[in-house]
Amino acid sequence: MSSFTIIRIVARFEIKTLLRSWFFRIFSILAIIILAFYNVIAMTETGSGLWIFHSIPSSVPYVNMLLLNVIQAVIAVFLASDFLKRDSKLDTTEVIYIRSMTNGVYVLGKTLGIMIVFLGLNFIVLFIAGMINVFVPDVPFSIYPYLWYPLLISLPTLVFIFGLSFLFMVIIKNQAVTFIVLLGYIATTLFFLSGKLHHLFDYMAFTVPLMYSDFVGFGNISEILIHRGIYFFFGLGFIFITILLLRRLPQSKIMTRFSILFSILFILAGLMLGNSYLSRIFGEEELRQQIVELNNKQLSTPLISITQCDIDLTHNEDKIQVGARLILKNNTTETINRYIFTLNPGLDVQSVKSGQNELKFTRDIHLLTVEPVHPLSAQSLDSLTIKYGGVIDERICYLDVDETTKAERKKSGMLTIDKRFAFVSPAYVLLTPESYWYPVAGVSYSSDFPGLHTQQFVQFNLNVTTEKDLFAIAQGKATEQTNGSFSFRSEFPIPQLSLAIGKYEKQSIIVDSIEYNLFILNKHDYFSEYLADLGDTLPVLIREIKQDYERTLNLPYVYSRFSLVEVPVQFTSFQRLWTTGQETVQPEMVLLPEKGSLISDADFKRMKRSEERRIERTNQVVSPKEIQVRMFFRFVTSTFTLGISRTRLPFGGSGMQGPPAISTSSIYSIYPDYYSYLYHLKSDDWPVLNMAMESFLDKGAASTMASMFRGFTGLSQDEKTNLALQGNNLPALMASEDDQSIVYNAIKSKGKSLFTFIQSKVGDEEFDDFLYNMLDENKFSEINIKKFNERLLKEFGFDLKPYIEEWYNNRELPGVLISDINGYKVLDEDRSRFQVTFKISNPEPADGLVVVSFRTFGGGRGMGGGMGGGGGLRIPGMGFAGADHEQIIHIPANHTKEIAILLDAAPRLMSVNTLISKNIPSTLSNIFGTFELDKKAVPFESERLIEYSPDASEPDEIIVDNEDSGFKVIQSGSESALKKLLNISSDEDKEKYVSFRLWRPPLNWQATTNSAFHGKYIRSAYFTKASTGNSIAIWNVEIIEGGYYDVYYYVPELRMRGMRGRGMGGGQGSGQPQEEIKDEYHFSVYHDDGKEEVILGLKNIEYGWNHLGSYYLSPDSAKVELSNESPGRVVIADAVKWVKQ
Amino acid sequence: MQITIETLNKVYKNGNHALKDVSLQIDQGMFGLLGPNGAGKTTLMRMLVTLMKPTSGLVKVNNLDLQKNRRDIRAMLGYLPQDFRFFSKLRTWEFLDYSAHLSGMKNRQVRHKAVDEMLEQVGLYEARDRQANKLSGGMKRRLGIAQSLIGDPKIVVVDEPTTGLDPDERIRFRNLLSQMSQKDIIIILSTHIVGDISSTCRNMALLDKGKVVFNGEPDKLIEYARGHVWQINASYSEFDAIKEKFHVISTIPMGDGWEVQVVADHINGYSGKIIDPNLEHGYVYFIEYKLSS
Repeated sequence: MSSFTIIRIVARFEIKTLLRSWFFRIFSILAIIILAFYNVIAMTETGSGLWIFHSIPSSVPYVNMLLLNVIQAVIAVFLASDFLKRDSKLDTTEVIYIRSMTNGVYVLGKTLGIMIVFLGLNFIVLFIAGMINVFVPDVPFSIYPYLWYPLLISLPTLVFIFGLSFLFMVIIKNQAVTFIVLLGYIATTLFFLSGKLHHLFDYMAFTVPLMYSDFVGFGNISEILIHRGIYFFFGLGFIFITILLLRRLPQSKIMTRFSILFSILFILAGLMLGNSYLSRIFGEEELRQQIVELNNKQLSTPLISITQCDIDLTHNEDKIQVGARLILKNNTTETINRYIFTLNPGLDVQSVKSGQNELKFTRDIHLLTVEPVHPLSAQSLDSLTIKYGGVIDERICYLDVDETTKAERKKSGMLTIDKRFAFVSPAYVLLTPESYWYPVAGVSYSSDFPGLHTQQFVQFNLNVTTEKDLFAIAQGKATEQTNGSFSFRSEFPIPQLSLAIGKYEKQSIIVDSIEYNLFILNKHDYFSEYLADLGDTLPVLIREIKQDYERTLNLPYVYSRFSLVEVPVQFTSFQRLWTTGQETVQPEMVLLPEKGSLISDADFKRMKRSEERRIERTNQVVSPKEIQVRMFFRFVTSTFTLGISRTRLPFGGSGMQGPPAISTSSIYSIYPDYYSYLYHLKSDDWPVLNMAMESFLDKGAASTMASMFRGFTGLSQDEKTNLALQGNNLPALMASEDDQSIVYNAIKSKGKSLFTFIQSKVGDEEFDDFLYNMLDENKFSEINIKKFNERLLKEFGFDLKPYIEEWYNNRELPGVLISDINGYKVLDEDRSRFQVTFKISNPEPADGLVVVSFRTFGGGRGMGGGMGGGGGLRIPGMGFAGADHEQIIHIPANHTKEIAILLDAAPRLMSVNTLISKNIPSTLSNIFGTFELDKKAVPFESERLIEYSPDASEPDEIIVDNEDSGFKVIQSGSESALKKLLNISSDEDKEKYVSFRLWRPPLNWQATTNSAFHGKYIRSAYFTKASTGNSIAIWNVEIIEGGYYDVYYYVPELRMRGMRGRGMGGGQGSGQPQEEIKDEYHFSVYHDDGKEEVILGLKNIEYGWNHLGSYYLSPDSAKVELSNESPGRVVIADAVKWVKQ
Repeated sequence: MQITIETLNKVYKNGNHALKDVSLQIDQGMFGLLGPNGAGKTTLMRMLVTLMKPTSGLVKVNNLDLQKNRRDIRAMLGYLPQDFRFFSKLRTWEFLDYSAHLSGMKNRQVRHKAVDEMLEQVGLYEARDRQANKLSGGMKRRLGIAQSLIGDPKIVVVDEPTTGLDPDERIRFRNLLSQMSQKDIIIILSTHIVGDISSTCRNMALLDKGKVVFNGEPDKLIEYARGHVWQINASYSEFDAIKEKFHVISTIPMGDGWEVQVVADHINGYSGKIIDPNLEHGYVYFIEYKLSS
């Protein structure tokens, strides 16, 4: 019999055996039922439907394969090891072993059998998913992903896990041990290693970016094939090693040699692919480093300015051929001997000409250095024609973004999406400036000067030739759009040009002379049916939204058109240090992910349903058209103008419920089309000033939304920034901080504070007039900081330069302390008003700026007034949402101010946002009680400096807070051994402060912050899960003068929602009735006679300082220890006070 | 068909010498392997069915070296191991079909016919659709025998095949093997049950401590015991002493004592008569007296 026949025989009987295994049957039936149920829930209204399922056709097979794959990987281990167990234990196998067949065909037959069974299960699961997919309306169906995913996800996983299981089983010879070892391996790869080294260890492809786009298919098919190939070949290699190690005398020397050869070949193939995979990663990092180093070297080379750029681009399959005619100007004061341009390294430069003269040029990775015929003297013009062509190398993109951030998983639910920055394929092209597809003067990112960004305003003209069935989109007026030929002529000098070519359909409307375009892929119009009734209302809506936004910004939209362009879901952009804008927003253009799949508010169906439910609940009568108006308004404002992204949580959560929604301005905010692409505040010394001004003017953004979510993350982004700024100035932070979002936020926050400071110096309205006039005069051109300062000096006598230097270089932060808060009712002539007075101190050597906000609850709550903006607030975005009164207060270094504020309605809450400061939490709050009438009081408003020392403490009092050096914790060491072994730390482990959580307190002491905790600027405490006393917190103190001391412990009053009815542990939450609190803390107070165990019961306790006892202490060190032993849920270690009697 | 075994040795890693210079020639027909536990019977058989490699020595099947021609030799084999169970979830006929298929019967119709015939022969046709692992002990044994015989093997090695079979089944099995042995086939039967060999085998070997201590016809082994098998009528009081002094083969209770068969050179002090020996007597006498002398 031939080997193939025997393989088929063995496989056939293996299939029979497996299909009759109850273990496999139960697993299969459960998998089929659960996944079918999941599909119904996810795809239909029953479970509100996942937007990604409705928008991207590949989502359904993708998620099905991922879920099945994780489960089948576990089952496969068991079944694969089981068959070898059967083989090794029973003599039964011997009657098979004595048959005439080679070990190879036997193992291969077994493998084939088990593989067929699992692939059959895959087929059934996908078939059911496909059927639901086909029959459920609104869920798009595409056959290709159904074919691709089993091959890319299941097949390599199964081959690998079978191979590994066989190998372990023949080596270990014990099924239980093999099963446990492999389960451990699966868990380790899934939970700890999957994201490491670009998913290299993720054999199940759980985090490998496999989202399939309607535009371009997979984001990076070669990388995916390499990754999957590694495991496929390793699996085959292990199977052939198993053949060699099988405990049966080999039958054929040829087969033995064949097995040796193939196991070596397959393992080698796996290793080579692994090497190729790693080489791509490290090669990319190396290339990017080389590019940055080259940039650093050329940083000081005088920069030529491009004033006009005429591009002729021919798109041919996955390549472009370009002829670029550049008009150059020497705007420097010195003669330029060579021109330096940055051009994508994948593009080969064929020739550089000036007129008819061929010019010498050199190409060094991305740099193109051209030697002109004659050196170009200052203010002279020159012209060049550069011919180049090739592919786009995306490795040059986002040099400023660190590798960790670049490698972070881009996901929607459990689906992982590749990150692409440019596309050139036969059917689709997307080129944004980040890919350097046309020559850009000078160098790109330099690590020597991270904030540097050159912005030149260029007159672009673009001619595109592509396939006849493709449509090209770019900035400027389209003068030709037929048969694959397109021409665009920009009406203004713009800083950048982008190009999209694809099978686009265009929808268009003109409102107030502006052409609003929508470019979507064929059959991607999912929204029209939900907005069908808008009709004539659409122009009115667009006009209103535009005007509202322009009023908020106080800036006009100057372009003649505005286009929304659908782009592949893989297209990714990152935050930059020099602008609030990202590549998703281009001049007069926004690039939206296909079908709005990553934008929660693009799910019109869900929005309509929730709107209808809301209307039904509130018994309103609202017409279908009005619902559509609301939906359109919500989509446009939340995506493009509000500046807050509302990323929807996976599995039905709303975007406002958890950390993923904590945001970050919307990456589709069109603010850059109002500022970033029109203006540029140029400073050679302080390039971040442009970002500072951009942040200051971005009044649509609402950074404080993030602080609402500090409960989830431990610290708000602003607080993290403040922590990073402690002892750091901006340049140091830019050079040292790994987390670019911290640097970004620091520049934004400091930027806002700088211009707010100028505003406070020269007057609000005066500064606004000055600034907006200046912008209006310098549209599409640079504003030099020198010119800016000269005008500021001339108009207001205010010299900004010394302040900028201090702002840029100062390492000190202010610290804000508030005391003596009083609130009472006063009579102001014939009406009652509400007087609030308080002292606000800044004992630190740096000036401080705070925003004091009051909420009276007299008016409407919620976000209606804009996210911290609107309502005539003077600095929108700095106060809390819905504030009724806001006031900026400047507190000079080492000074205290007494503040008196008069309000028309009784405030319930005063909130002081300390902006850039040492304070954590950065917002201090005070809740007012009843306002009593003080008949004698005279109403007044004032802000005056006073002599006051906020630091004055009691003379015989020593306080040791958890932030002090006398405090320390001794951990129990309850850390996962696996985590230790693999040196794995969660994001939380890396954070200095974590969120306070009762439901899953940490096993070890961890610091957390809350305004209820004791502390000067940083109000923090340590907390841990209550346990058996295996870890302690210690407060050490140096006693100078001996005597009797009263010892106190600080019990904070935590006000947290959701605490009611829970074991409070610390019991410090007012949410739980005191009588329910059973917690107690176990202290050891050390004194002259040894130590005393003190138990502090938390039931009916007074919040604040609680007496632990009186003890005689000699001049020496004394200490108090708090153990983690408690019958409650958590133990909190905050502050201890010794008071001499 | 002929199997030639020359100075075969097997030394395990722990130093245990399982086979010592075993040399045998096995011709067509049934060949019995007899020996006490640990004598090396199973080791020898596992070597013959290519499950184990000898440390040294040579096994030839029709002049084919066993080590070098496993493919051809395995194609001739049928094997029933001592502790034989079944793949769970396979029906009786499916398991037999699997064995037949692996033995080279490709044609489906021919194979199914052979399976049915074999099931008839071993009396399992009625149980053909029952799951193999749910058969009774005897039925399982019969199925084991069936799988070893299906596919017309040229060499059949059976290890303790009649263990667990009732007398009828044993007889049927013996007859089946005898019938098979009429063809050009070698059947090697290893057993503790001496009667199985005496009633079926033309030749046999006796193994003890890894060595072949006897090789020949069973009658020759029986002859060793001639004149040394005694029948003694013993009182109850004598019985215990007889058990101490002699190798007792059988005891039959009588009205006033026991009728005891013993193997011994002399029975001094007791009255008894010499009776005709059988293979069991020959085996015991050979092991206890011939070998020890």
